[in-house]
Amino acid sequence: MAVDKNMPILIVDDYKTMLRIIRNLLKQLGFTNVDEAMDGGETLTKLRSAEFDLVISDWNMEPMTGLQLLKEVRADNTLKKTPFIMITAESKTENVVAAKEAGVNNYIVKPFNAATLRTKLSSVIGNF
Amino acid sequence: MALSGIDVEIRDRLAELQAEGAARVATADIGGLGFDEIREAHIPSAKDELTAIVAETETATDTIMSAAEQIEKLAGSVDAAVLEQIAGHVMNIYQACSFQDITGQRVTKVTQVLATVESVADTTLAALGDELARQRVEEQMALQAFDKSEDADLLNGPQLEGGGNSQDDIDSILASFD
Repeated sequence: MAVDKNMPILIVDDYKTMLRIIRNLLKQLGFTNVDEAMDGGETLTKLRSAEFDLVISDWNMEPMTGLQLLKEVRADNTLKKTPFIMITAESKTENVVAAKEAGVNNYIVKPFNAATLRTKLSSVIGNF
Repeated sequence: MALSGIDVEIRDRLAELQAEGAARVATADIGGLGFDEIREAHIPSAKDELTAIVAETETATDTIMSAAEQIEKLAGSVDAAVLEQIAGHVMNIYQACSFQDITGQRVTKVTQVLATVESVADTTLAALGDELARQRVEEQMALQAFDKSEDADLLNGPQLEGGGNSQDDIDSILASFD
């Protein structure tokens, strides 16, 4: 089945510039229905008030980290199946393992390029 | 031979005087090193410089991003082949701009190191009787106890070359779960 490029995507980062970069890269890949959140609390509020087909989140945020956000999403019965990609500078093995154990669908290490983003998106939502 | 009460008193007093003398010498040594100056001037100045670096690179990145977005808009009026080339170059600009996030996180790590040095300075000054330093140490300990999140030990930030996993390494780790 073809991927709907109008699918709603929520991107989460506490750096405005990074949100802008990810939004622009997604736009170049054809995904334009993108909303933003700057912390875990705002993310959960948005996820509970509208439907999103994908969450792309940073890890290193305060007060709720991306890992804690992922755990909150997976613990919520209505949100737990939402695909979740982590984009982070955290590249240690224990980070990747912790994210995988918490239910992350894919993991992109910063700095990344559009080709990596495309590959990881494809592995989570299907080829486009 | 057992010491008399007076002998014990003299011995204890001598020990006290020795400790006080050591403290005075240590304080003098630290004063000679400009410990207070490091705590009050150098560290705050270094923190301000690092904060300015983050702010300036953020402003520059915003300017570059805005210019790239304008180029992208203008590109609509050129032919398809040129448009594709422009789109590729603009994407490269977006990707390159992510340096600001990484350098920001690295600067934060350095700022944390400076905070640790500041904390060691306070602990040392407090041990030598500085009341203000003692208050700062207590405030810092209370804050640390409050801030400690359950996965705080997993917040390492960007690694230096060879210090963390590459995207390929990460993909292999993820695949090992399948």
